[in-house]
Amino acid sequence: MPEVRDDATRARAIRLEDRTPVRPALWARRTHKWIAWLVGVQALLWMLSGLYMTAISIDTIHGDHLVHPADTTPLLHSGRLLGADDLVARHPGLTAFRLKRFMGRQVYEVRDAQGVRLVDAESGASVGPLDAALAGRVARSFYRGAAPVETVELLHQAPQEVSTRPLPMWRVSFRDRSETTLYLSATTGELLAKRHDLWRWFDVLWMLHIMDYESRSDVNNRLLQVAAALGLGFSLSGVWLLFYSFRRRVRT
Amino acid sequence: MTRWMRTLHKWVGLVLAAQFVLWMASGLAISLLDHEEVQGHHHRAAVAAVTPAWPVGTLTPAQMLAAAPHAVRSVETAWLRDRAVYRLAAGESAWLVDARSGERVTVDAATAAAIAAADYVGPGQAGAPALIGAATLEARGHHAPIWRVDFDDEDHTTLYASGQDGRILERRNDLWRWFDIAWMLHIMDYTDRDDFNNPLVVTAAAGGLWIALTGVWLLLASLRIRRTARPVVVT
Repeated sequence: MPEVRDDATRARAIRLEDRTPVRPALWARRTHKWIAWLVGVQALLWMLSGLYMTAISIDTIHGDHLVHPADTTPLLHSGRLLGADDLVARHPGLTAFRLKRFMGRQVYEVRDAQGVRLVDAESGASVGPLDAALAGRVARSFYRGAAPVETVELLHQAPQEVSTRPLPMWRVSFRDRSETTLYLSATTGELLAKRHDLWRWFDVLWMLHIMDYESRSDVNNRLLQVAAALGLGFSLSGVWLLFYSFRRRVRT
Repeated sequence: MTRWMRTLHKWVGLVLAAQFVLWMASGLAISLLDHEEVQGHHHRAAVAAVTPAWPVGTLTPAQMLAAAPHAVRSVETAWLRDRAVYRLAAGESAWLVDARSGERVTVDAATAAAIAAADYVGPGQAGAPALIGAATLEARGHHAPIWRVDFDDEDHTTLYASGQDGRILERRNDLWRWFDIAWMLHIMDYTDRDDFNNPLVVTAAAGGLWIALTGVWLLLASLRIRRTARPVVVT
């Protein structure tokens, strides 16, 4: 045993003579490794998700390529358009309206005591709420691909992938490779969201990136804060370790 | 193999060292800065629960279309303070027309000040609105003209209102300004602070993933080395 200690002391003395800072190097390595055990897997997930989110264009993730560009046809002022006073008379409690184009014709989106709905801008006849057939046609008119519609469902509860959108909504799924799903407002026919596999992967990876496994949106959660603080220690200890990693070991 | 991994881990680490620290530091900052406050929600007035009924005797949308200087994509009702107006939109431009007189409504300094004051809650006093000719970094993504209204509260709140249609465009404050710097460093877009698909960050992220993968390798290898090394130490 004493011999071993002597060897160790001698080795240390030799290293000290070579001005190789053994102890700090050891501590740097130890710290870096220790933190690695704590957040190594998360750091791997950060890098993996970060690469995915940066490498794929956000426009692609948003699914802009899945639908036609917005209809730019201007409104026409035919003399038969209902006036504001007509709308006020027809819709008790009218607070707002909007003249726009919908499926090749002009409609008013009116907001009255009963909520929001679409009416034909000339006849005043109700256009919505959308039934399954119309929802399918509307979705088809947005969709750029050639794949057939697979399912058309009316939803009164928002699935997680469109949790912030207003209800009720139609979910129209297409039978294409990226499992495209278009969500439409059942009252106004508005395109609420475009979802496809690249978006769904993005969402899962974003969840992993911000470590909010429930709402997938809270960047201020405690778990992330602790992990990020450890991550900062991780990177700083890595930098520290770099100072010792490029010295040539003098062997005696 | 492990030696190679160590060398690569070291060298890629050397190149990316500063960015690693910045990623972690900015990520930590983003997680610590309360997002509600970053968005300026704590100085935002609650939206009126009851929208007033649309008044009788306004001009018709058809008249709006007939008088419009160019093609219009939508006509909608809106309120500019107590004034019933139509908002006409075409592409990226929008403008307001008085719903009773049909006059074009310009968002002047007094209107901008009133809009900002109505949107704000807090101890701050609004300064004089300033008209911005081109979108600044704080009001990026919006079209000029833009009104800027500074408040003298602790957070140095600044509201941006559209000079076209009077909408509040952005609610900025010091917390947001810190957040924006952190975000810039995190996504490595130092000019527009917007584009997280820029080649620099993609390259750095690929390098980062490499570091992480070799790091996991080295960590597992260190386990194996220790296990095989232990008997040697004992004897």
